[in-house]
Amino acid sequence: MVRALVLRVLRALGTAWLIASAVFLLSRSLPGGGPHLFTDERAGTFGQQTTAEAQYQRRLELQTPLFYFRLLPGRWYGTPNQYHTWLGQLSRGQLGQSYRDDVAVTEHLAQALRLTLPLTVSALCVAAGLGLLLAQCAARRPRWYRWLLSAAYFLDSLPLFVIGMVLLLLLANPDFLSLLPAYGLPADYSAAGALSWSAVPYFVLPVLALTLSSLPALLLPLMGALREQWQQPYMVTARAKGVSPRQAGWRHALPNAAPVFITRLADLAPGVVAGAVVIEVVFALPGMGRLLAEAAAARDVPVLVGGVLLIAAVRLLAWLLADVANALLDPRLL
Amino acid sequence: MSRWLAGLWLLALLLAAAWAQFGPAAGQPAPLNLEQLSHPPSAQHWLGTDPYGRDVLTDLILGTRQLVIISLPAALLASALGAVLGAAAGYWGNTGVRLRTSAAVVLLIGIVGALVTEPAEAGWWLLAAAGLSACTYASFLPATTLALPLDWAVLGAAAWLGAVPRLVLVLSLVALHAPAGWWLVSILTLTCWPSTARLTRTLVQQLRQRPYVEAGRAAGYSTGRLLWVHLAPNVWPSLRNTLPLNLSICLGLQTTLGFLGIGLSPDQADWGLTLANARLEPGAWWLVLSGLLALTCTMAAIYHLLPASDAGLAHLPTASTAADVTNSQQISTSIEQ
Amino acid sequence: MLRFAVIWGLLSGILGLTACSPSSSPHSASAPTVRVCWPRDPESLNPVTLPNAYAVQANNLLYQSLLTVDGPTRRHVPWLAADLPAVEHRDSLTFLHYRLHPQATWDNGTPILAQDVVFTLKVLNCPGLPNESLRGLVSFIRDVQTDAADPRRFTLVCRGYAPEYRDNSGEFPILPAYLVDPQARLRSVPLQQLTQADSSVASVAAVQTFQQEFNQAARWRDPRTLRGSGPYQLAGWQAGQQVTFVRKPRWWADGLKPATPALTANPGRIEFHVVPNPATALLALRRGELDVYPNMPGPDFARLKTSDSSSFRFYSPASYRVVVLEMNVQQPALRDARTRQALALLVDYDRLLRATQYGQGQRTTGLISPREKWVYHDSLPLRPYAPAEAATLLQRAGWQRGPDGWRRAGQPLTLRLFYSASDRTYATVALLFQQSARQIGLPVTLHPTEAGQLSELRRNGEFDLSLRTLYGNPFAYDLRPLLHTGSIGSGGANRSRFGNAASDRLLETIYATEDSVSKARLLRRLQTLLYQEVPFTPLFFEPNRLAVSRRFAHVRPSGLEPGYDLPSFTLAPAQP
Repeated sequence: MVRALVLRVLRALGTAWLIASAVFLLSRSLPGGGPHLFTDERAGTFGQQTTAEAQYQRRLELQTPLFYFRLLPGRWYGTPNQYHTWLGQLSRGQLGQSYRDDVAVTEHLAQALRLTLPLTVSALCVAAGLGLLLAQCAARRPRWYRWLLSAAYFLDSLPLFVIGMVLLLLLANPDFLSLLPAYGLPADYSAAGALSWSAVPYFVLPVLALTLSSLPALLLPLMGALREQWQQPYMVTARAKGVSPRQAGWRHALPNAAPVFITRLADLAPGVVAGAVVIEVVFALPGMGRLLAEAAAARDVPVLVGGVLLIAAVRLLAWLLADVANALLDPRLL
Repeated sequence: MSRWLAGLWLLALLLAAAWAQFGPAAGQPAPLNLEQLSHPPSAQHWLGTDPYGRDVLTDLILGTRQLVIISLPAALLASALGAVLGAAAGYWGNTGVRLRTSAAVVLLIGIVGALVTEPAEAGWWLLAAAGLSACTYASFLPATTLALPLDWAVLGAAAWLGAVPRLVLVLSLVALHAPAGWWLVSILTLTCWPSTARLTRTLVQQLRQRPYVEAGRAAGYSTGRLLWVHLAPNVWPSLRNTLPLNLSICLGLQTTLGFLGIGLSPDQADWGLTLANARLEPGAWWLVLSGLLALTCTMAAIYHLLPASDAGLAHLPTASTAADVTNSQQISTSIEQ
Repeated sequence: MLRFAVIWGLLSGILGLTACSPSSSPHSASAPTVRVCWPRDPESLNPVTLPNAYAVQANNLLYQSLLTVDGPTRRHVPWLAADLPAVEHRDSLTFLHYRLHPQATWDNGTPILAQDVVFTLKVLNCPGLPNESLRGLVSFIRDVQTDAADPRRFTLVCRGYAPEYRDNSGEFPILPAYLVDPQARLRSVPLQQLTQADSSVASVAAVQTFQQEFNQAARWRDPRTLRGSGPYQLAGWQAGQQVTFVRKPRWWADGLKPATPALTANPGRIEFHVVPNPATALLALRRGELDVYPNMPGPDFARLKTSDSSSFRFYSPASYRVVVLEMNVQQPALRDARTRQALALLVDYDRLLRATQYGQGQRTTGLISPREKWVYHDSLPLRPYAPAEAATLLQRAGWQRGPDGWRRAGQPLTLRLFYSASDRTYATVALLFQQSARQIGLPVTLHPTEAGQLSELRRNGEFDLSLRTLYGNPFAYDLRPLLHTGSIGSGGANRSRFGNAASDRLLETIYATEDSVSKARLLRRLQTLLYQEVPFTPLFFEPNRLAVSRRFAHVRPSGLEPGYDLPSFTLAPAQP
């Protein structure tokens, strides 16, 4: 069992590496290729631009070939190449430096995660807790069930930016209710590094938006599963034996409905590190989503690939964990 | 009753699409009116105007053409692709499909050969490889076999699609070919299938252990028959829920693409673009509301019009729970956008 | 019920917390805090990199250059230099004689001397540093001659002659050697060795060690090493969120009398808040969480002006940014100037100005801002919106109108219009142009494109029409990067691929002419040429839309980037 688990973890990490490699090669094939010093808005001195651009490419070591070989038609380059350098860094636990400011990618990721993790983890926890509570309430009350079902479907169809903007316009609007700060974080937030209470009001709106958007994902399947369990004969027996409805719901129905819930949680888990660009843009938070989106726009390949590697690893491990948890609950699945 | 309404709505959509395609205004986008940017609903503009001064109602009606040509086929294809891949991954797992080692070697050589030579000769390499690998099955080469890690490949591909930032993925796909018509449909299909696949995989994995499937296998039924006759009816109720949701995922992606400026140009009316325009003008509630309303109605109509589950459901105690799993597959994607 | 009580308790707790948390930073009457909205992070504060306008703005608080631009008067004024330089030509060389401000000192009290200028030029020319764009800017400086008698006097020796040398020679930030190179590794390397084009200097051991020390990213985020002779020091930088500067308690220019605008620094604290979403920024501004909102979107500006004019002042000086519709003159269909002239008549300029700029902005006949009256060619007529005339011009260019559009020698006339996606102004222009073109039966397809991809397409000339914003200034009329044939492709920014030997000669003459009368005459000739040849048609000059809280006075708005003068801000006297 343990050996199989270790093997599967290794395979997941290997897959994450394959995914990141594919992104590494893919991002260089994008139109516009690598980063450029001069854009249409920023022209160089007349007669100097080509030289400056070449110096820039040389400093970032973008002139070495991308990979060991080229396809269509084939040609062998061997080392040194950019991928080989990246791989060497990866084996030493580094992810290289950003093209834009020479800061280590790991530092960029750590800084973004310091903001993204509290945000997404609290949103996921609140959504999971609220989902459990609401699903339990709704499972044995058909009226609640119908009402919650339509509410969840409605929430589900709202784009994230609509949720964010509606919350902003309702709760941080000088014309309406000006209760919470509209954007950002207190100035001392990332300097302190730890969660301080003064940051809590700044987190309320983004967490609320993320919770609302991920609630249906957890609520709908769990509600269905619990309702299904309530119609099973064993629940009728339990109720006949005099178990209170609340106890029956938590002790008997929930364990049987759990796999669905676990699968959904595992699907949402990568979002915890990937962040949510839309919410980060609306509430001006420098999280993981914005980091990766900006890196992609600026063709900052090291940051991009580092982020993809992290997200892919978390996603695969979360799926693995869900598979294991489901197998523990239902051994036929392994 | 609800099915009647649903049919009526879809018929109206089709008529609108036909009107947009063949009507007097065919190929003509809604006219710009720069004197009336972002006006709320009025007698003149029943659903208001967008940030470019176009009538939202006209825009939505013209948008049905793209809906019928692009979004619906993409949602359909994504569901089909997801179902097939998921079913294969769930049914055969990592060990179920085996390939002759010799055939695998020949195929591998063919693919590598195709990649390293000039593009013009690639086809010949592949053709030769396919022919030779077929020959290895016919001849009496050693019959050692190699397991094809199907489950790993499907999940890995899904994880890859989930991990790659949308911008990178879509840009590289667009770099291969300008995003017109069928290519847009394939981009949408390629990016939207994973949720369906993961669901189908879980369902099939559960079902293939059921006694009646084991019995079928013991009775010597072919794999195709088992999958089609015995597993498919039980998976259907869940898939029935995914199809409408895939439509909203596709439209959501089109919104994102519209915002990145990839895909449809802003003169082509499209529901995804209507929603994307709402981002320009957050105060314009009528834009969001009318776009969402049209989308929700369409999703509900499709849901009601799909044939309901048949008798196969009896075998499957957890069918409805699994069905609800799909209801919210799109959330994880919406978080990642 | 209990659960709801708990939730309600939590909520009211949170709300209570906001109520008591201080919503704004403390103000002192003489040194107020100014909070400015930025749409993006400066990305790097390294004084030799300066990747974007925000980094430049931040750097001007930390470092000083020899000269600076005074926004409202649109002139170069001395900053670290005592006066504007004296210019002298000898042989094929130009000599710029500078004297540094006698009171200028670094933060450690040592005076700023000619040696620091030499050191700065060494750093800017040192290979392997992220200084590629600044290196191009100072490439005309060959050597620095110092004066043995006065350590503050020095002479820049420049190759050849151009009138722009005077302004350009004062534009790079002067770096403190004691912080940037504490081990004095570059002292032994002569400047002339570094300015030489060959790469032998990269293998000098001292240079390599300096490269390693300089390229440590952490030191360009550290307030102790990231400091120059400017009035402010970095107080904190949360990437993607906020950059904060505080006034140095003692700055060398504090005691100067009389204080020039360039050498004043009133705010005690300057915070730049990164708010990428315009709607959020607008809310924050109205709630008093921000004080200055530069480059506001037009619709927001117009709305705020009607709703909140009691708490904000609004400025919209015309900027030097001009939006143009560029045409690829090398496309076969667009080679004939008459075709391009016809397309220029299909833009409904006045309606566009109303719809996108809300009545502000300024129409123009060419690239040069109408504000610069001495060079602006005002006798050229503004191009009208005239679809009928456009059709006539197309016919004259050989196009025949048929039932399926325009054709010439069997080739149909269809045009692809590229522009940067998710830009509302461009989208409006594109949609309106398409609509007017359709009226005369000309099909135009719209291609909103992602910025990186668009740059690549433009560089390779794979477009017919494109929308672009050109950034100008009132000082330099070196239009070679934009119009010279040598700037086509990766050599510059000539995306319309316009030019011939004659136009190249004209551009070079303009660059080399000092006398303002003949310069104005030549520039008028160029404007006429561009007006006839239409490599692009200018749509309008954008205004610098700026909203500032009424608490502040001395905003000194200007059309030049960034459009306001932060160091001169003071608290406005209390209003009755």
